[in-house]
Amino acid sequence: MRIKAIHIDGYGIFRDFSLEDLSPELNIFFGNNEAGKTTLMHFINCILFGFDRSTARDFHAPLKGGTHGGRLVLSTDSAGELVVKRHTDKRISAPPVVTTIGGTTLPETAFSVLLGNLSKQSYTQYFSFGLDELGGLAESELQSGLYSAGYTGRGRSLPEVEKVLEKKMGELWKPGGRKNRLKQLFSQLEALEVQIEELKQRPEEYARLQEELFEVEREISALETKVEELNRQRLHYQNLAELWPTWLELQEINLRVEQRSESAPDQSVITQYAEKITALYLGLDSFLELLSVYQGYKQELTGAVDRVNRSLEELGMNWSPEEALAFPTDIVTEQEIRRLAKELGQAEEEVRSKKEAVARQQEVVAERRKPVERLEEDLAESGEVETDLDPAAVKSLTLEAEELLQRQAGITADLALLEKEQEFLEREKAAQRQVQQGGGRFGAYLPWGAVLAGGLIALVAGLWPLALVFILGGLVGLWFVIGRGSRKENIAQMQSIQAKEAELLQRQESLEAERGKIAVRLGELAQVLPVEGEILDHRSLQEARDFLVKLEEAARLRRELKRARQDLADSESLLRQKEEELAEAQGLLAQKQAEWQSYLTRLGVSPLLDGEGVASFLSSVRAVQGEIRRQEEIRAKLVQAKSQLETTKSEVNRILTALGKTEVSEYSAVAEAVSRLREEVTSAQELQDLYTERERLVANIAVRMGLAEAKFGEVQRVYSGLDEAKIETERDKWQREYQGTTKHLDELKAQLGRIQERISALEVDDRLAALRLEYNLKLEEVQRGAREWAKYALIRYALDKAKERYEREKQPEVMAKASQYFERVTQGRYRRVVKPIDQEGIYVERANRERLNPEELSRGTVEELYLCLRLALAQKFSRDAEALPLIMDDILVNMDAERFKEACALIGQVAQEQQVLFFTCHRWVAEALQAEALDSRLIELAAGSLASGEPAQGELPFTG
Amino acid sequence: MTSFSFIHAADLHLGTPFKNLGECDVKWRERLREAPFRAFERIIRLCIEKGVDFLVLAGDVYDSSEQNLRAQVRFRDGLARLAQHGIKTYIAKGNHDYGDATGARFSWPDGVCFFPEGQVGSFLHRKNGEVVAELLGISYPDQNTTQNYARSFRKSGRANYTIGVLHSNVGGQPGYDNYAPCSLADLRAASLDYWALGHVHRKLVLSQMDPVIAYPGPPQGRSARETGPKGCFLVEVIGTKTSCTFLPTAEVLRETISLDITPWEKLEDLFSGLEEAIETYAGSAGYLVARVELTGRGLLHKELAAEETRAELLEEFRGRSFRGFRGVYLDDLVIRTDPEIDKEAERRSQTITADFLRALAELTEEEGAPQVAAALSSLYDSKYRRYLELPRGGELSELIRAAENTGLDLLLGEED
Repeated sequence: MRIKAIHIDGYGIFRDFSLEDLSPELNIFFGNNEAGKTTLMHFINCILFGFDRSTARDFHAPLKGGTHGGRLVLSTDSAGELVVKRHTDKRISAPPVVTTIGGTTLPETAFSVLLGNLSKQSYTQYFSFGLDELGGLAESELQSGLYSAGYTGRGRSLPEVEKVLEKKMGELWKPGGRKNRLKQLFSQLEALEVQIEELKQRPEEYARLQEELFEVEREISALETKVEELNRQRLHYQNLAELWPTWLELQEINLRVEQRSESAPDQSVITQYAEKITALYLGLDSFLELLSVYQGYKQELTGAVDRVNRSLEELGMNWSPEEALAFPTDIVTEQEIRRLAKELGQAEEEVRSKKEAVARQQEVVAERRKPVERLEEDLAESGEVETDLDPAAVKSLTLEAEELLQRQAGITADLALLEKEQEFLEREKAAQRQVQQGGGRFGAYLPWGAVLAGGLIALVAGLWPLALVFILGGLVGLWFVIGRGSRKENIAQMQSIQAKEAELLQRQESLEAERGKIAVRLGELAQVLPVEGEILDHRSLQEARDFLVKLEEAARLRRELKRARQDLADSESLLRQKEEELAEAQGLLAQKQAEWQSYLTRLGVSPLLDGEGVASFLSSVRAVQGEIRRQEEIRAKLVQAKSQLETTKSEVNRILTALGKTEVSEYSAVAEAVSRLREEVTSAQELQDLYTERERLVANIAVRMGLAEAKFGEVQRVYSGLDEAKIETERDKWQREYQGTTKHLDELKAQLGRIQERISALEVDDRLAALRLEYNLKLEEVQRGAREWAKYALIRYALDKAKERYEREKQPEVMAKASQYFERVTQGRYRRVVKPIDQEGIYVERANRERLNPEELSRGTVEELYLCLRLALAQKFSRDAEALPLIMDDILVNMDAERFKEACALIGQVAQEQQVLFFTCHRWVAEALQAEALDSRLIELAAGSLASGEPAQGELPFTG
Repeated sequence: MTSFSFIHAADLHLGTPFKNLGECDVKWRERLREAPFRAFERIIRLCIEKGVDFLVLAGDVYDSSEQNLRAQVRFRDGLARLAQHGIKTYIAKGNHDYGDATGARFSWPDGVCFFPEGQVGSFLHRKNGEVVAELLGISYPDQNTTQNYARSFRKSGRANYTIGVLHSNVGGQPGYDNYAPCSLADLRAASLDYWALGHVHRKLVLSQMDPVIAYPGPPQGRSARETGPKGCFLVEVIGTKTSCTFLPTAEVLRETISLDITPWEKLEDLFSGLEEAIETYAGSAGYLVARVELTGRGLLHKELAAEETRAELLEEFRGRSFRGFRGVYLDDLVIRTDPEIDKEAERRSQTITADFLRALAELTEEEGAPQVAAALSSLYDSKYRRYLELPRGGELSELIRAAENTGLDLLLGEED
């Protein structure tokens, strides 16, 4: 790799600085102090490896402005020509922008590979150094430089790999460390072991518990037997104590039994009848009551017999009681009597009502006769008009006569008008003849106008047929008169008038004919109607009208009379009907009276009795019958009571006989006998009760005490020799013992429960398995981690081995080169430079084999040594990758003239393989170097820019 | 001709936790803790369903050292169920349930017969009053039994059929402690009809007939290496003719699934590859606990090499559900992939990388052991060494391979 050009945009004192066409071999930068040499050197470092804000040494903020940074044009073996540009920004060291000649951008990593993956620090150690750095080489850098596996153009440098390994291993395991993964896992495993160990004690505990279980069960079983016995004893005395009052009672009852059984030997017979006697005794009250009732009945019967006899007598029928009872007073008979009486009454009522109806109707007939008579009188008075004429026909003829008279008047008027018209036409004819002879026309109008006016008057008067004739005539006439304007026209008018004349004449004849007909008819009517005169006129018409009125009045009276007569006839007919009905009712009444009398006769009762009489008799009979029956009832009750009394008495007598006692005969003695028997029964029962009580008490005690036999003797045996105090003492003793033992048993059972519970808990506890699994999992994790760690440990081991081998076998190559250079520079005074494997640092060997440490050398010699070492290392690196430019900053000034010359020659020689940029402030140094180089360029710098003109002639301190 | 049947099971290891599980969650822990019990209960159910005459347990019912009382109780309860069905149980104790002070204090159900400790005992099994088989067996008096018990077995002839029950390593089966060692010839010499063996944790039939000599393996695989179907033998005897049927009992199948990443370009390929592989096991058990091993050289290596990726992948896998199982749990994801780096070229180079690879390679050689021990001493010689075991043999090779790959990634990879 060679730098072809440098462009600075802004860096320290440089601004817009450009330097082109650098020599591929040696470039000597000459300038006075502060010309910018070191700055330029730093600039190259920064462009290649980046700006580092933290070390102000090579940061060089631009003093004259311009963007901080710039670019280098590089020529490389593997990537051709490249432009590397860097500018700082506010945050970080600027990343390089690397472009190839073809314009493509090279990734930063690829550029880094081109630089042999060197760090800036390594570069400044081996390739870019000044006097300050020249005096030594850090051991680590030396070693890395000597053995770097990384400097192969790929991969990491060895120290980096070692750092990674250190980190990885440290994370996994570090002796004495606390936070590493394996240490944590080991701690967890240890904790698990403790827990597992605890749980492993479980089977022992289990076995122990099983034994305890067995022991406790055995003990419980024994205690249970004991408790049972104690309980028996305890209950025995407890029962004895509780039964003590019973025992006392039993003894007393027993004493009484013994006393009683001595005084009353045999109680068996009375006992047999005890129930019966008790029942009799309990029935004694009702017996006495019955007895008193019986006696009451006896008295009542006597009274009843007397009453019946008296009533029979009062009835007066000479009936025996049996006959009285036989008389039918039943409801059927009574109803029959009532029915007959009712029908009889109804028949009588019917006759009465019918009679009233006939009388009423007779009044009606008399009433109706009155109008007939009055009308007959009226008719007789007005009935003068004797005609066979029908009023309606008379009325019609009268009307016809009226009309005919009216028409007759009309015709007379018409004829008068026609006459006038004829006159008019006559005048018209005359006028026309005048016109024809030249006469004035005006005269012709007048007659027609008059006709017209007449028509209009007729119209107003309502005589519209006439009006029509006149109006038409008038108009025609006028038309003729007006229309005639010539002689011809006049002739026509004349003809028209003549036609009109003819028409009028015809009309006249017609009217005359009609008038004749009317006169004939009026004559006829005068004949028909009862009027005077031969022809009917207005006067006779009035006469006819008066006649008509009279005629109509007579007709009305006749109609009314007819109606009154009809009414009379109707009422008379109804009267006859009523009379017939009355006769019928009277017949029925006679029949009912016959029935009634026949029924009474049949009953044997006076047929003269009416309904009420019969009812009263029946009621008396019924009363007698009731008394007879009551008497019979009393008699029956008396018999019944006696029978009951007899039954009780015979029962008592049966018992008395059985007991060998005297019977009773009177009812009144029964009660006393029963009471006496009752007393004897009670006494026998009391003894029986004592026996029963004694048995009950014995049984009670026997059951509670569990005696084999429920006998008084047995009970006596149990209590023999014991008194209440003794029993209580015993009871309390056993009770205490029982309670104590029971408590112990309960405790044991609780213990048993606890043991069983614990056993069950142990049996189902699955924690051990869980912890075991957990332990296994952790153990596996440990083993995995350990393997991982072991992997890195082996890598580290192998790397150390490799380094050692490399050091042993590959070192001579570098060191031989260094030795060769050193020998040459020191002109044979020193022969070798050596790096021992097993110790730090280097030493030099003199020609006489004397070994010296660098500290033992002069400053100049030390600088010569490290220069040679660096050049050798740089060359070694260059074989594996790109040969990076060597940059040296005035490193030769401490050397003596001889060695300086040799050093210059050496640099010139190296420059043939690896570009060298040499900075100096001494012209003689620059010139000496230039003299040693085949291809070199001297560049003069002055205050951040290239010096103009010829290079300044320097002053050589020495020549040679 | 008499006929009878029995079930032969061994190595129940009830209550002994699963091994090689990774960081499994509570649900899985519960499920796995329960699995051996489920398997045992299946055996009980099979006994009842198949109507066998008795059950033979050839040792290691549970681990005495575990002192797991709960397991013993559940075992007792299981046998009680058999007893209710009139099925007897013959038990020989092995190196894990030897002695067994706790068990002895149980009141065992009727029909549970333990073979005596340290000497061969005999039980005659009767069916309908007739002796159908003689069972010879021996229990371990202590864990470490080096005596050849097989030679103490002798046929008595009291029954037509004789069964030997023994917990033993026959013929020095590798990977198992050599307890009660004996040879196949020793067993044959006893002239029995059936050898019901226990101790080897896989189904292994040493002799098909005359006599039948068989290990049923455990009814439930517990560790990563106990893969494949697990169960017991149903043995049916007609006359002296024996037929054996293997009945699966495992609730959880354990498998190792090896996947080659070479053809794959993205992680999703890995998922589908895994799904496919898991499907091939479908139907063999309710649950699957699988270990996934990734091998091959491919694009995915670089991603997989990072421990974080491995952890993330595992988590992702565990969160997925797979067809064919009610649940699938991946206990580990073992990355055995290789980088695309040409290791051989690196070995030949003159760089320090070559020296690094050489230094690792030297560790696998015989004289490398002390170096390994020294390199790992700060951990493996620490006070916690009891939890660890220095890697040896295949494990060491595996470790060194991993170190190579990681080392190369570190040396040649890019900076973080």
